[in-house]
This record gives sequence, C-alpha cells and structure tokens, in this order.
Amino acid sequence: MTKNNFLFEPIEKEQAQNQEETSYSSVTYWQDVWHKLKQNKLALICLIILSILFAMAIIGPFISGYTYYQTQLSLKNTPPNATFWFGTDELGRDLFTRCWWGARISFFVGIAASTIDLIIGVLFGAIAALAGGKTEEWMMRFADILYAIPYLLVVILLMVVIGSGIFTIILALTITGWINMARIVRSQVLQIKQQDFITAATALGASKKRILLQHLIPNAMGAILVTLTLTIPSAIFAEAFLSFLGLGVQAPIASLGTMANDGLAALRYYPWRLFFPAVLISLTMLSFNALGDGLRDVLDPRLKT
Amino acid sequence: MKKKLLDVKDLHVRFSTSRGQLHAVRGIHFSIYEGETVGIVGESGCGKSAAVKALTRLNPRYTTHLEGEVLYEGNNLLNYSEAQMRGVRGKEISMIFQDPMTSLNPTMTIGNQILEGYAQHFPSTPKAKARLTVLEMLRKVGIPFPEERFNAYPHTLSGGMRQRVMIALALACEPKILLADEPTTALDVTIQAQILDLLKFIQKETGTSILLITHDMSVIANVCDRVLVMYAGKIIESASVETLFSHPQHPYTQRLLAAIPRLDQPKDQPLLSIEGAPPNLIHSLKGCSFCPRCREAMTICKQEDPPTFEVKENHLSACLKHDARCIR
Repeated sequence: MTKNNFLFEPIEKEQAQNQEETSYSSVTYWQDVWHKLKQNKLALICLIILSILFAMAIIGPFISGYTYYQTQLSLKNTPPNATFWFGTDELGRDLFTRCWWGARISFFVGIAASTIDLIIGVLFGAIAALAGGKTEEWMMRFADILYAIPYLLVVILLMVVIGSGIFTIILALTITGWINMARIVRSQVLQIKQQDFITAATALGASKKRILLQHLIPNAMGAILVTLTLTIPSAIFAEAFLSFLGLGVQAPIASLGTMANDGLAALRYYPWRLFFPAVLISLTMLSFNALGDGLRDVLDPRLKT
Repeated sequence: MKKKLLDVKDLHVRFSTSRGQLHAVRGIHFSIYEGETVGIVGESGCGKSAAVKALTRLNPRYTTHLEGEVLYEGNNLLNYSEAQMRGVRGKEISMIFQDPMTSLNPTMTIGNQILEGYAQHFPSTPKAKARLTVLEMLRKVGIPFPEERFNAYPHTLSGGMRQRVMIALALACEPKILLADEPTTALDVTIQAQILDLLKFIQKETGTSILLITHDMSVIANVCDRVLVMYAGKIIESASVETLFSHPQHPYTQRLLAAIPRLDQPKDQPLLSIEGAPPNLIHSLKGCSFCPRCREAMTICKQEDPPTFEVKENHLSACLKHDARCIR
C-alpha cells in the first residue's frame, strides 16, 4: 500500500509552472497557404510546368546553337528530327529556338502587362474605396468609361499612332486591363475597411496612407493574387491573339502568336509549324488558370474551414 | 484639485440615414479629470458609443454631423484638422474596442502592430529601443513569453490574450486618456475580471484616465470612480459610484439598478425589467425621453424637457421631480 505513495504527494509549485511553457511556433500566413496549396495536386503540377516553361524561356534559345533569325533556305520546312527538335519553318529557321524565344516574348508581355495592371489597379481601387464619397464615384465612373471603349479599337488606334511592337502591345493591354483589378480591389477594400481593426488603427493615430499600405492591401492580397494569376494568362493570350491577327511583334522577332499564324497557312503540309507554338500557348494558359483556381481555393476566406 | 483633462460641452452627434436624421447624442456635458475612471452606462442604442467615438472623431465621416465642444487641454478637438487629430489619437487619447477578435489586423504579427503604432508617434526612436518598449508593454499587460509572442499572429491567441494585446497597443504611447468601448463584453466572466484588474493595475501604474463604456452595472461598481448614466442620447444622471449605487435619484437609474439579478433572489420570482423600449431618435422628442416608461411620470414630463438639477454636490439628475414646483 505504501509503495506508490509519492505519486499522491502535492506537486511542486515550480513543476506546475513549467507546464505552462508550451512549445510555441507561429506559422505565417504564406507558410499556411503553401502548405494548403501542396495538397492540391493539379495546382502543384501546374506550378511545376510553369517553372519548366519559364526556365526554358530563359535558357531554351541557347540550347540548339541556332539563333531565331538565322535562315537556312536549303533546310526549309524540315520535320522534327535530331538536329531540329521542333523542325524548321519556311525560311529554314530553327523552330525550337524560335518557340522558346516566342515564349520569352509572351511571358515578358504577360508579366509586364499584368504587373502594370497590378500596380495601377490596386492603387486606384484601394484609393477609391478608402476615399469614399464623391471621389470614389468619380474615379469609378472614369474606370467605367474606359471599360466601355472597345478593346480592339484601342489596340488598332495605338498601332496606327505609335506603330506595332512589344511596348505598344503592353500599352494596349494595360490601358484598359487595370480596370478589372481596380474593381476587384475596390470591392475587397470596401469590405475590409468596415472591419474593427481599421477603426482601431485609426483610433490609434494611423494615417490614411499607412492604413492603405499596411492594413487594407495586405488583407486584400488573396483576391489580388488570384486576379493576378488570371490576368497573366489573359495578357499572354491577348498578345498571341493580336500577333495572330498581325498586330503584334514584327519579324524576325517571333512570338507564339505570330508563329501560330505563320504555321496556320502551312497546316496541311507542315503541321509541326502550328503544333509546337499552339501546344506552348495552351500549356501556359492551362497552367496559369489551374494555378489561379488552386490559389483561389486556398486564399478565399469564405471557403476557409 | 485634480487637473481637468477633457471637457465636453453640449456635444451633439447626428447621423444622416435613409429615413432621416438620427439625433444620437442630444447635447451632453461632462469632464474627465486626471487619473480617474469614468463609466458611461446605458442600454443599447442610447448613444454611448457614438458619444465616445465623437471625442476622437471616429464616427463615419460622410454621414456624421458633430456639434458642440470637446476641449482637450483647452483646445477644441472638433476644430482640429485631420492631420492634427492623428497626433491626438493614440498619443493623447487612445481607444480599445469591444471585440478583440476583430480589432487586430490578421496579417500582421502582434509585435509589429504595436511597433507600428509606436513608430507613428515617435518616429525618431531607434527601432531596437522601440522594440524594447513594445516588449515591456507586452510584459506589463501580462502576456507570457513576450519575446516569442512578438512574432505571433492574432489568430494564434485567445480572446483574453488579444484584448491584452489591444490594451498594450492602446497604451504603448502612454496616452493621457483611454477610451474603452465595452472592453469586456465579448469575453467570458473569468477573463472579464482579469481584464478589469489589468485596467485598474495599468491605471495605478501610469495614471491614465479611463472612460469606460459598458452596460454592465457590476463592471461599473468594480472599476469606476464616477458614473454617467445615459438614456436616449442624454446624460440623465451623474454621480460618484458610491452615491449612485446607494442613492440613485433618476427613476431610470433606480429601475436599472433594481433590474440587476440577485443571487439571493427566490427562483420563482420573475426578473425585473423596464417595460417598453427607448424612443426612436429619428423623431424629435418632446418632453422627457423616459416619460413613456416612467412610473413616476407627471403631466409636465410630457411637455417640458427636464433640465439638469444638482441634487447634491457632484450629483446631477435630469428629472423634473427635483423641480422646486414639484410638491413631493
């Protein structure tokens, strides 16, 4: 009976306090997002594909040893083989190099255009929502008016005025492209600014600028990121589409769109000339969209459990 | 005599709504002295929050109309520019809120949130020193392991801990006045007691004056020195805590105190309440606002807006029964 008596002795005070010392580590928001995104297999695969495409867009043009503008008329329209992995076009240019060069242009246009969209859209939308009242009304009606102008018309006008080229395309895409972002950010900020922590920040003396940059925009980041991952592919596609119509970059620079356009005419006899650029466009679009979808699942607070 | 910090004179708050103008605060007068705790008590919708928010002009900008004087150290805050107000908010007059769950930015660590508020008012302080101040503040409000918690996000903390962080946030710049808008309403009772003790402790340490809004009479009895009772946008009685609880004068206060449930009350006895509802402040009121619910109402109550009578020294009551013409 007396054997286990020590178990029933009062616990030392010091020991009791030690129990309070739980191991404590804080998971940041983005660590949490990454953890959840990893569960989504499709989004993860798309992220890997995008990384590969991105890496190839950087190093791809240097692999085959040919340049995108080097013509070899004797080797024109060669089907894919050991030397020309994707074949050659009607001037004997290496399609492998040209495809990755085109991907580089497409990525550049897509990312540049959506970055500009992002900056203008986020600031415009957030400032409009924060300002409220008449200012907001005027800003958003201005955006509506811009939105109402047919997009192709703007593009063609710009081409006429400043000539075609990469920067014209980027300008054409951003002139109306930021409005979507601005609207989404505005709607998010309108919700967030009603929350108590914004009042609390104001009550403790935070300035409008600080509230905007430190409190409103970080909390709208989820929606911004999702919109961004959907803006990039639409910009890439718009570039390809404009190039396909002949409004894009000029020869000898290739973009995936111009190459698809060139390949279309020869589809019957030399199908690889359309196939490779088309596959790259589709893969990029699909990956970005699926990734955006995966991100939405992770970041949308309403879907959070 | 203690120094008068804040002097509110004839403050009116009006909100424009789709159904007309809502006169939420209908001319209130009160002062806050150095180092004291003043309680504002009243039922929901009587204008407590609107009045307290008006002190630092936190009411929605486009729909609120403020009138009167809020004198802080002799200057009328209602005439301050927005930039001047920013210098007052947090540094001179700070505020804590009802729901600690939503009053902290979920995307910032608690340490950075306090640091941010501090840096706003003391931009020249070196970062390392500001960090030490923040850690000291966290320790003072009873956050265990402040070094580790500095990098914690709000969602990893419990409600009571978050309210402690809120208090640290509000007091980091050593304000002279702390406005507390129902700081314990969203917490459970044991945590409530801890937070109230913390407020009392902080006040002893720093000498901050506290203006505490609540609808809980026991909170008032626990922490306040002086009480203002609000009804329908007016202060209808003000007195020291002891006087108010022992000799309430206004019929509303009397009924409010009688409505507190008692532990020794027999179980089968119904809880007391005040019948009826407070008046809708969109309509302009004639006579005493409490008249329709008052058991002692007289004919005059329907016609005349009761002025404030000084019943005793420092004990004010706005009821016509104190009028010299009343024979009772």
